[in-house]
Amino acid sequence: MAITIGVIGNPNTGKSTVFNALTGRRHEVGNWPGKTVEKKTGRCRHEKKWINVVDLPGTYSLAAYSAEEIIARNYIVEEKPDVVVDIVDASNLERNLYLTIQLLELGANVVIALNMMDVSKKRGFAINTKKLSKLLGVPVVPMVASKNQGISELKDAIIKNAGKKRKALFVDYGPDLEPKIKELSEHISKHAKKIAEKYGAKWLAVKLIEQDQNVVRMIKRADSDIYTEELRKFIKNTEEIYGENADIEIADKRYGYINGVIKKTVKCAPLAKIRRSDKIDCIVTNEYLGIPILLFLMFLLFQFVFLAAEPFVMVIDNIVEWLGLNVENYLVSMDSPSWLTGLVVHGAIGGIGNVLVFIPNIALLFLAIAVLEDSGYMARAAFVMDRVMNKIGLHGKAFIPLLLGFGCNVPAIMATRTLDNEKDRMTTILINSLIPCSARMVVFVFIAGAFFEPQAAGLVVWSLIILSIILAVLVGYILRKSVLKGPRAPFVIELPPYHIPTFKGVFHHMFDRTFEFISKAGKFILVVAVVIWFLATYPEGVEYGSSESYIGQIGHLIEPLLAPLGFGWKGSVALLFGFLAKEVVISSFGVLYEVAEEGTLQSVLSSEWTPLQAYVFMVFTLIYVPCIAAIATIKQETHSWKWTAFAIVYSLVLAWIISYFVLQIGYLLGFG
Amino acid sequence: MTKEIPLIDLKEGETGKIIKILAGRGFRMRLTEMGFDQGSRITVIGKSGYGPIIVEVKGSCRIALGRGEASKILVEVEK
Repeated sequence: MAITIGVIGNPNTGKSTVFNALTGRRHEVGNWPGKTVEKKTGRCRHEKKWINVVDLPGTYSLAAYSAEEIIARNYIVEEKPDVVVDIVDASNLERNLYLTIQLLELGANVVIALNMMDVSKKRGFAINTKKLSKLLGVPVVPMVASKNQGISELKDAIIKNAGKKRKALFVDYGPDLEPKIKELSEHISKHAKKIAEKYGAKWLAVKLIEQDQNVVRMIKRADSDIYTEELRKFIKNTEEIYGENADIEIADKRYGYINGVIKKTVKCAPLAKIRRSDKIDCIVTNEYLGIPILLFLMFLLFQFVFLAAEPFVMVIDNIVEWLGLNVENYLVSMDSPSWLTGLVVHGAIGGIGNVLVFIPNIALLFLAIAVLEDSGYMARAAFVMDRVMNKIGLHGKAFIPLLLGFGCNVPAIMATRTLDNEKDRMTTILINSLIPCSARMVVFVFIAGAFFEPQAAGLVVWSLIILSIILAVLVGYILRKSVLKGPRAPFVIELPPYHIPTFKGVFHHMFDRTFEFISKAGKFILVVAVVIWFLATYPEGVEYGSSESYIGQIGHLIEPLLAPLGFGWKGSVALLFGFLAKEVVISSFGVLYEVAEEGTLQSVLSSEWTPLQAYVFMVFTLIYVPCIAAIATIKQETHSWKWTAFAIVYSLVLAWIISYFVLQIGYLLGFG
Repeated sequence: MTKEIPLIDLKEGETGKIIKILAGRGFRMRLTEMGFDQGSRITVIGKSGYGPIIVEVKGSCRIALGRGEASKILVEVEK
């Protein structure tokens, strides 16, 4: 029988490093049922036994205030894993043990992985792990996961302790609360047997006094008599006795217990006053230097991503071309019908190729995100930008995901996972596609180059970037005040000490995320690529993308809708193609005007449109519908077709309105 | 006599003991689980003219707190 373990721990304890070290990267990424929280599962073999490893969300506590906490708690209680591995940051023992205590109170079969022993030592802590293990009654494995130290010992401890039954730990909650806890737990074990067996009567009693809404509901359902006027009065009374709420009193007692444990197990040499991290923080979070430093680092990041991606893009381009040619030759030699050859070569390979060329950019952006996160700078960026983001009703953590949108909206939307507040996150996802990604930049540079003098073209592209930022701010503000109304999430974030990211860590992150994107969005992209190919190629015998093809017919059909903006059917068709990937707009113009060479295409376009029309077209391209890859990512991250549809519809409507205004203003100013 | 003041009024480098958190349940619990329990000592590490402040709790954690949030935590200044 395989052993199943759950891995839990505070954020910033190196939990994912331990997970990767345990599973050797054989793992799957999914989501917890019905939640947007990521679920990673993997397995490993040790001492001839299989260990299934489930990565639980990083959380500070098991109270039920966030989706993460509820998921972790339910998993431990419902699934009863054979072992719960609690990753504890040895340099931050006191705070980390708060979660540990709650696990022990639940009676979970805990094995403590005391990680970051090296950092802890450097900070002057000497931890007596044997004594700690004895006092808490569970095994403690000291380790340095980033250096692969202690992993094998942890696996030994998991196998040795698998399936052990542990008595729940009882913290002494003091003479005022204890009698009440006893009374309540007796009541619960008599009247709500089922849940008492599952959770432990005393645990439920404590949670009842803590007023944990989740538990209160559950108990009320099982035992409606318990939640009496008398209990409410009692809770109120404790508040009067302590001058504090009962939940705070309970938390204090837990910390008191932890303090006792720490005093007996940890020796602490006097700490050096200023740590290196504080010195760095002094500079990077400085009120004058903070934002310039952030912008400079982001500039370097984009430079790196685009420079490093270039050779890979060329390689992929060549591979797609080579593959197309060879598959075509092969299919022709096999006498396959021409529709099939077209479908495979032009529809699937060609269509996906359009998206595939962005994979290097996407992967490198993921790499950059991993470096920002693992180094600890991500939290500082949120810190520095909070004041600015606050003004538009968003959290400081929303800044980096928005900025990354300039690279590609796909990793940017996935990077919103750092936002804990659902509404902040949704807003950030929805306005992300307003940030012009590099594919749209390609379109802007091309069209601006065709219609404007070199100096003016630069200004034109800049004006579009400024417009996108203004729109993102405005739409974000409006969303946060209307459909996504809600209180601002409090700004409390941990600033983990800086450290140099490990090669392994950031590359794992990059590969995981990139494959996650390919596996989740791949099928959407394939379907849309084939549909667009079909629409452009059929009915039988028409020229690709011509006026008679289905896509041309649709172009004619929606022409009246876009006529006030002055796009004509060719412009409409180009926009339809852009749904696959925004840069396809240009190549589809090439098809529509039957010119292959870019320079010629530019002059053809400029003879057809006025500069004002071209500008309006760019504005529309900037705002309308995110590309299929971004839409697939929005669906994956929001878990909601409703919000995905909203993202599409609002951007279309907004694109139309803004384009129309720009056109009218242009007329008024005497352009066009 | 001890004086209770909001955390935001502490100067950089000053330490205070948490007396009370004046906030709703959710936020109070979040702070508690991050180490801001009653009676624990808290030191202001970084504070500039505007924007969030950086504090130390539980001896080694660095937490950034918004100004609004920091004014909801009452502390007793330690001399």
